[in-house]
Amino acid sequence: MFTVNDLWAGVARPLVLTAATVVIAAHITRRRFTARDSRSWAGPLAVGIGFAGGYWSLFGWGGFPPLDASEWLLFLTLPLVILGTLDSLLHVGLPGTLLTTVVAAPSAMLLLSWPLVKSHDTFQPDALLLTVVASALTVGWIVAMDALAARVSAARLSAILLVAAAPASVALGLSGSQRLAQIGGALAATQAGAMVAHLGLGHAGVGRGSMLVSGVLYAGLLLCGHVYAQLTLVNAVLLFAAPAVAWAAQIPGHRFDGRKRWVTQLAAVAAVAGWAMLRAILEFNVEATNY
Amino acid sequence: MERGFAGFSAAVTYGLVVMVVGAAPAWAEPLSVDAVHSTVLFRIKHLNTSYAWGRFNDISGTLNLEGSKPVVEVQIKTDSIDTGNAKREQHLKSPDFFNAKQFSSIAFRSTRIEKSSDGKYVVDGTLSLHGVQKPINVQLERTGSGKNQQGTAITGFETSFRIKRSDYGMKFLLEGLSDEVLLVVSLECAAQ
Repeated sequence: MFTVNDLWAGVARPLVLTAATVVIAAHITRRRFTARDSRSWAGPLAVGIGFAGGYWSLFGWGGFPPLDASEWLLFLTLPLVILGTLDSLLHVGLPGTLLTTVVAAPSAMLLLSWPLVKSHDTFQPDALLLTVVASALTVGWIVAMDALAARVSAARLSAILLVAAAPASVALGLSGSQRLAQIGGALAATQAGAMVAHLGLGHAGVGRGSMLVSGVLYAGLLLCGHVYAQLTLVNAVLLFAAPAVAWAAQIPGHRFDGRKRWVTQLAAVAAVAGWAMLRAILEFNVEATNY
Repeated sequence: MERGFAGFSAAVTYGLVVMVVGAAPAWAEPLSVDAVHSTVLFRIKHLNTSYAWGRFNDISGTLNLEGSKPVVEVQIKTDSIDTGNAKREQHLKSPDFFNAKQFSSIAFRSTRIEKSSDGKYVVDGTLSLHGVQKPINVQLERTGSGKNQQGTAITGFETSFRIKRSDYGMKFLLEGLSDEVLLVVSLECAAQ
């Protein structure tokens, strides 16, 4: 059930918070940093503030440690923002990004799936295997998207994540959890806010660093949807892979100009994510009676 | 001969006295919950309008109300929730409510049992639900006793009590589904 209040709290608020953080950070540091850096460094911070703000508006802080494993998504935001901002400010390059990602992504995935990995006081091999695979894929995803971030504007990168996260939110809602759907909506709204802010500031900004925050939250959300709700493995994989499909328009030999590349990338991502959403709709319609 | 008959009749009389006076009633011995003939119902108000009912189908437990170590233990598999609508059950099992994958069981364990009157008990205990443990107090009533088809002594108990789901961290959709939930627990128990 999505009420007007939910839309305000879970969509409008994270959108505004993210956009405002990007704009204010760029304004504050415009004399200290280069134009590109001043518009880029706060990307992870903005996504983190927007996401945490949206989450808090929807569900409150809850307690620490959280009851539901999926609530770790909120508490993971702070360390991810710190690591992402360091990455963004220090220009750590591929080795640095890889190192932070290798630490952050598996830790996050293990926290989120821990109740299933260690269930009934024993380790569950299936859940452990799933966590390891999810961690490895997330590391690869973040490195790939970080490399893409060096080639496209921050606005386009946010748009790519937006057209994947929005269908993911719908698919999660149709897969048994409105709560996870709302969290997905908040994450999508942060990308919308970042896109609007970067479009307003001009194309100089890049989205490096924010991939760590957005990537771990996105992958973690899909993992929760699969293990705690009924998001099918196929739909989870499609939604997870969708943003990386944007690489298709970057393949050498494809001579897309700027606008055509924008459209191609977004259409490719939307097609894959939309396919997963369509599958979720069809699955819902098959199962649903009068609910 | 007379002496032998007298001895025999004395033994029979002693046996009858023991059976009638000394034998403990079925409910005073350790009992196991018969899942097939036990029911856990819950009632929640939908959109502040009507009451929706559901049940849990997988119940187990043990009761020993008047033994040397009185105890009431009941476990319910969260995954066995049944509301007559598969999609609603899927939603109830999700992290929005019970999070059945993470919290696979609901449990009650008594901490104190006091007989209040014939067939009625006041039971203090801890209810573990959704990863939260909270003390509750229930009035347990013996509803009957008899024998099942296998000739085993059986005893029935019932209790109903209300909880606030938000006390157990289940705070999603409080505007649509009431915070207060009524639980009705009817147990048929057989001697172990």
